[in-house]
Amino acid sequence: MKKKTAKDYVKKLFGEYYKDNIVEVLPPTSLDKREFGFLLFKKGIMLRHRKFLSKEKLHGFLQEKVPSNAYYSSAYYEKPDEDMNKKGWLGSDLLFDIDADHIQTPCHEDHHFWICKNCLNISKVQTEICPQCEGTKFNEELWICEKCLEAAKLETLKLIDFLISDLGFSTEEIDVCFSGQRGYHVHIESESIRNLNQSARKEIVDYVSGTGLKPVFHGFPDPETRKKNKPVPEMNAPGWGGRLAREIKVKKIRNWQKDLENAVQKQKASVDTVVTIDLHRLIRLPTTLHGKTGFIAAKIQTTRLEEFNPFTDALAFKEGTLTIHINESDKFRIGETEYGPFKHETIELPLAAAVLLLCKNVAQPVE
Amino acid sequence: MILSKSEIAKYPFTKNAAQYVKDLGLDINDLSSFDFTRTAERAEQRIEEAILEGIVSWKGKSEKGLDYDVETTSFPIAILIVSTIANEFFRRRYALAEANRINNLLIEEKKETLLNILDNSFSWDVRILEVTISQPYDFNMYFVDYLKNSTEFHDYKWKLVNRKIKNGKVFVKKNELARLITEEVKKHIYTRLKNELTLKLPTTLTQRIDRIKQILEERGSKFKRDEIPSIVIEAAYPPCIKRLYNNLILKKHISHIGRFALTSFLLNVGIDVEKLIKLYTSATDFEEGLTRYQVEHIAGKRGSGIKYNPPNCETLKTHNLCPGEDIICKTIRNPIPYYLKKVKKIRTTKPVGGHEKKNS
Repeated sequence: MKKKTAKDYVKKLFGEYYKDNIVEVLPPTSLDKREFGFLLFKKGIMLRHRKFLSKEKLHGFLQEKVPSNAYYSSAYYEKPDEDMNKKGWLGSDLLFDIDADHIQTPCHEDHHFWICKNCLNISKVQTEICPQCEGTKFNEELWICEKCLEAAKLETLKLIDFLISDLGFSTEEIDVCFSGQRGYHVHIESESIRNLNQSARKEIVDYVSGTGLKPVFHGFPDPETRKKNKPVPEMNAPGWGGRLAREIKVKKIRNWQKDLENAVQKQKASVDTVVTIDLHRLIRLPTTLHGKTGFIAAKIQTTRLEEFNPFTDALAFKEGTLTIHINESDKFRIGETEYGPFKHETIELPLAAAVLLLCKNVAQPVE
Repeated sequence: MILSKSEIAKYPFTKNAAQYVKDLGLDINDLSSFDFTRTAERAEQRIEEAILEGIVSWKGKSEKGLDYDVETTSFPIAILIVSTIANEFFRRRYALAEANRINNLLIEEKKETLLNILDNSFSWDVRILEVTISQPYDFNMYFVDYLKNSTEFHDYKWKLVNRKIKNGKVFVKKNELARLITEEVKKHIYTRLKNELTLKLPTTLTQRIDRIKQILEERGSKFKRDEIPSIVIEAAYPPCIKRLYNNLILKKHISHIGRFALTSFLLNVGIDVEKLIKLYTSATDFEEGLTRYQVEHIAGKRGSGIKYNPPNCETLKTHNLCPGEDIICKTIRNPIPYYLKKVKKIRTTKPVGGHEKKNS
């Protein structure tokens, strides 16, 4: 009999999860107007243009096919199961993706690693030829890092403040989700924004990310005309004016332009610009599992985001242990415990930790 | 609030005005009758003014005895004529000229009147504010309504990020709200002009149409756009494209949207699909199959069949693809018009064509 690979094992566990916990999987609103897409374990096949008429049908599909990743469209369509140009776009939720990849944390560069497709050898630097088997094809992977996820959370909190204080959305209209791996997704479902076109969505992205911001329009001195004695906005001024006023220390100003630029950098929320502007985006279906971590893309109450910890609150496999052989792994945390680093070790780990390493393709199950 | 007779004549795009015309019982065949001669005449005049002056006149203040009914009824007739001629340039020109007239009138109105006009035509969430020394704005409006038209404007002051916003409300001054309304009216008129017509027009009107077509033809050549030159002139690429192009050659990473901008630009200035695929596959390790698929898609040879234009400058800025503007950049909104302007400049300053380079 063929030996069970990491993938087979993870698929089996995902299957069990969906069997026992299917009620936890929440379908999106307007289910029959959404397109669904799924990545299957088998050779990374992508199924797209799927439609479900009921929650039960969606649940049945997840249990039967056990996809490695599940996505749905932020858009609403007349016919979600047709080809792109025949779908009949009816509108789209407003979507934000905050991904640690877009945030310059000090450890940002340290998380990349490359796995040789042939011998699974792991390399921390990008090479053209595998030192172990001379293979030439690699998969680029990323470690999931607590510090980067904290940074992403901070950006998400900043974003939510823009959305509530400036743009006037209510907490009920805002859904926050852990992406399942390296960031957070923010969905806004509201009739008022459904028909915004791409240019309008771009303006919203520019707003939260401070792109094209000219402090002079918020009452700050104009560095070009050098009128420097102008009073600055009050700290409690609405919008960007107040944000910048709170950030800069007027008495210590040496260079208005530089200090204001720095203030914008500190106050802005770093979001993925492409995702928000895309009117046909597929995004991970909240409450499903992430194939690269085995974590749940958990829904988070907006008011409780600050205390959310993905390493305890997004775990799907909380019970049991599994013995695996680890090729190589950085340090990582699950729950309260820190594991690793490991190199060529066979070890029994709590299931969630073992699944994370299997999903990352750096370990194999030991039968 | 119902608009007055003079307001209806000023703002014939409103629902009140449409109802007023309907109640008059205007029949298209009456247009040949003597009573309606003035209406038809004014309709023709509106169009002529649009073509020649770029603005439709309003003589409300200066001319005594102005017939409001003629003003009001001539508007839908002018729309009818312009739609019949069905020329894209002409539709835009007419919509713009009516919008220009309306903008001049709106800025003179009281705040309440602006709100009345809005209530009467578009359902925007706008409220009047009291102006004080510390509060210079006349209105606040829901940011979604603001974004419906502000994105059409070039100036930085219109960017949402440069506005005072609180709880979803953008603060605007009266002339700014007037400008936003004007833009909405322009779109509204343009949409009406796009409607297909099935009416058979009376001969008096078709004679007028022939006259207008003639004026349009005489003027048309003046408005003709610059054409893309038949050879590719690399020296005329805008800074953003130059940088992307160099990055490609130097095998530096280019984001997905960067590749889209570069590909759509190069296809639009005339580099052919095969050459482009070769450029990508030789300069990078892209697979030929996937590259072909994407390039052909952008060229409109696959999928929807739409040939894509490069993204506007604004979009390039959002995605961090604008390396900074030069003098020409300040006058355009998209890399293609930049290219056309630069080509013109190169051709007038260097008639020998020293920098022209054929891409083959």
